[in-house]
Amino acid sequence: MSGQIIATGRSAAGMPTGKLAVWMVIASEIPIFGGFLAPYLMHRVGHPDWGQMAASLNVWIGTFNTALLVTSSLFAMLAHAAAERGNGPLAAARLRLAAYGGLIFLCIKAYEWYTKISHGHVPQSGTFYGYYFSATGLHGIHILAGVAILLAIASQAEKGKHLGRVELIGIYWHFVDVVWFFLFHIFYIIR
Amino acid sequence: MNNDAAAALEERKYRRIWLILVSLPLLSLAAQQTGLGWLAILTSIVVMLASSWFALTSWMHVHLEPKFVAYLCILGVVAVAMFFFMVAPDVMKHEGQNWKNDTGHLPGHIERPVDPMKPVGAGSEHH
Amino acid sequence: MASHSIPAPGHSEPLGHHDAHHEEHWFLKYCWSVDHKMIAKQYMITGLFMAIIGGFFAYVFRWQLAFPNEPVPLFGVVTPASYNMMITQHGTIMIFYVAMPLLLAAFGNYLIPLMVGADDMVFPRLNRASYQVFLISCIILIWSFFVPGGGFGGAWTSYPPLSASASYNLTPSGSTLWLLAVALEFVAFLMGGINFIVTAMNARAPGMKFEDVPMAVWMIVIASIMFMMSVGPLFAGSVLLLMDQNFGTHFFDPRTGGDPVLWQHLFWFFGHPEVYVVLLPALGFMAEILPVFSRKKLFGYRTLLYSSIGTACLSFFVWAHHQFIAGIDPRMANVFAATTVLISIPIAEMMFVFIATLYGSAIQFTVPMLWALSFLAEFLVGGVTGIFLGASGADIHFHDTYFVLAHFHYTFFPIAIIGSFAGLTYWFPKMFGRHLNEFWGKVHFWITVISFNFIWMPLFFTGIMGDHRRIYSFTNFPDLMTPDRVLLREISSVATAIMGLAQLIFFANFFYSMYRGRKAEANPYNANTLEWQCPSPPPHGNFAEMPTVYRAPYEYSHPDRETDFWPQHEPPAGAGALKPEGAH
Repeated sequence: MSGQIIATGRSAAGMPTGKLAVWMVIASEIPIFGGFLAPYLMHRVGHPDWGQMAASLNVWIGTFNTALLVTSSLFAMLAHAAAERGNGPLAAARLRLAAYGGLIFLCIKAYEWYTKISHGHVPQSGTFYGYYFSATGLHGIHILAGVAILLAIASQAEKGKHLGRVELIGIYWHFVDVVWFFLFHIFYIIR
Repeated sequence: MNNDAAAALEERKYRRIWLILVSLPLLSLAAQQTGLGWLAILTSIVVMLASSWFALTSWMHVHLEPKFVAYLCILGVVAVAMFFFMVAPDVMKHEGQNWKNDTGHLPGHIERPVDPMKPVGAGSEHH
Repeated sequence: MASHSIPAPGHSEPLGHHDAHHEEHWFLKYCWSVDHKMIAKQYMITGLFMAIIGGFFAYVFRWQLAFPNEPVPLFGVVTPASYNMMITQHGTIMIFYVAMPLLLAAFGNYLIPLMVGADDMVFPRLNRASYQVFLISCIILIWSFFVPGGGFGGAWTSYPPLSASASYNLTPSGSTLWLLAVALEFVAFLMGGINFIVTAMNARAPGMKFEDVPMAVWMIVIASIMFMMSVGPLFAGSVLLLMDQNFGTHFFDPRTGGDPVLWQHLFWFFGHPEVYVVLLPALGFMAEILPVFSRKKLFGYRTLLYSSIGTACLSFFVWAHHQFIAGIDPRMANVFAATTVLISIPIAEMMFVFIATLYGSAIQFTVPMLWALSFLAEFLVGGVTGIFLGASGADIHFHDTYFVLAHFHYTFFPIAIIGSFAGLTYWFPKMFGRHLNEFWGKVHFWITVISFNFIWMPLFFTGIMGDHRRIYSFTNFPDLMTPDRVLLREISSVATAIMGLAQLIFFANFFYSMYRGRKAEANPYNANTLEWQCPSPPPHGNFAEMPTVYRAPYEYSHPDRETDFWPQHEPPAGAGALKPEGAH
């Protein structure tokens, strides 16, 4: 049904409807992540002792995860380039690579959480950990959703359908990257 | 074909951005490993802003969209910044000129280190 | 990692949207519809149903306050716990489950595609998902009343530490379910809001420029953007509070090192813009109704538009006036007192725009017009008393008294109840193709508005005399049991019961007229905006021929024309008509 709706095809604001919606989603996500980071930063400045808890995070794994996510984003970008040339199967292959990058990121994140928890660093053992687990957890949910959408769009792109959507998921995927840049620096680098 | 050449050029541009985005976190990692707190903070802020800028402009192409898209995102950031700066006085400070927030000094308030595994008194924010 | 292990949701198309059925199953038509008009009606019915619950709670605890420790008719004896639960749920329901779904979601869904000349919302399935998440949220909220320990009773603001620990609030599952319901509601309205904004921005009819967009659409869009920008911190905060309640973290509990004032900031950073999120759509309805029934052009379209944008911006700078006595930094209190008083300027400007629209016109006192006029009068009282409370010094005296309650009911009642009734009675012919009964509409109007003033005027005075809002039974405070106070409370409570009974007239009128009312033609009020140019009720796809817009929406009594209205889609005489888009 959605294909027959005239409204969806209009672009009075000067951009495709889907892209406009993706940017709206991003604009509404900024305050959500900001809602985690702003209170964390306020508390963090008044708590030099949280540095010890921050030091328990493995910065090497964090850096690797950053690089992984950026690489995954590159594949989403390359998929967009392929989709622009109308090459659906190539775009699909690259989208799947991007999705696997996201999945590996999640696996590493799960390992990290597991070691934290097995060392007794659970959310209730310190407010630092509370913020760490909730913010990275929310980010993880976004990665998971992104992976699912990447794979869904890949299977459409393979048949040459909805190639415009490749760019849309790319924009979201890069945004998840940008959020991670902030989380990585604020939790892992600044001690 | 001309089209393919343009596409190859574009893909090369994306790879260059990827290289920048991968090396920037390494920079902050190196800054952190020096052990200088201020350096790590400074580098982090620069790297956070720079890498977000590269991702936003070169990958998300925000500058190619109508201007209101950028304005909307800025609006979100401004909302968060405003929240931070207007709430921070309450959460971070407990006394000032002619006023004192007594609850800030009660034992058990946030200024106490809350990790049960660490000795009480490690926090140094008490006035 | 095998690629087959990942379920791809794109493979499994959900039921019900492969193609348009001509004769749809009733389930697809009424419960699984993607038509914006049906989703609007779903929101409307759900909102009205929740309003009955919220209103009944109000009646029960008002009766308890006037006649303490006597069984309340239709309810029984009110215990302190059920009293707390009812005031909490009354606030939650009336704001999140009545004002939001009625003003924003129901009318937003109904009006935006019709008013901008589109055939549906741009994302119909997202729209349906938004309603379904909202419905789940309603069910969770109602379910929370019946779990062991009862529903959450820590006030709709849910301040920790009371809300953070079951050992304080004694509602271990009720408080968690409450928080879950509210968080889901935010998700639903984020989805709906994005749909509203994108539809209004992108799906406008050809020729519709920014200043041709009807005010109601503008207001709903501005409100959606405000909601989108403000709800993030509270969404984060509700996740943190959920962790406090269930995982033993200590973000907000000072006993274990949290900061309760932080929650207040997270809550009110959303909570105050929220007031304007529901106010703006109501003002938008006024801007539609007043010109139609005074047959005059809206005075100062741009003034109204810019002052509403100004209100939206300023509303992000006033939230801490809810926390003047919560131990916040007094320097910030000064700033917030100034911004709070400042925001009355754009609001007053809008009031003047409406009054100037009415000035010198032959007003037709129809039922929607009566509601619209009473909105102006009652909201004025709410706005003026707000200035007392905005001054941080005076607020120390007034805080948490019935004066505060009377103030915000004088703002919220006009917004949520009068605004909704104005919208419902005005667009009823369009929604159902039939007219409401005018006589019973007027009876309902007068009883509701008069009894409303009898409820809240006395409580201004008891508030100034010092009645505290969190008292369950005044008999425990002998110096608050003087005969004059008791009389004022009794007047208020009896008026509450009368007002509740008066709503039966509305519901009878509503459902009777839906099936048996006088048939309505497409444009019964001779209005200009596009929703009146399609049949009543509009069919699937709305317009037989997609309209093109030629002029601003409020061209009434134009001197060059014989008729006193000038529909937006009517081609100018002589000019070559633009080719209609997608004619079918």
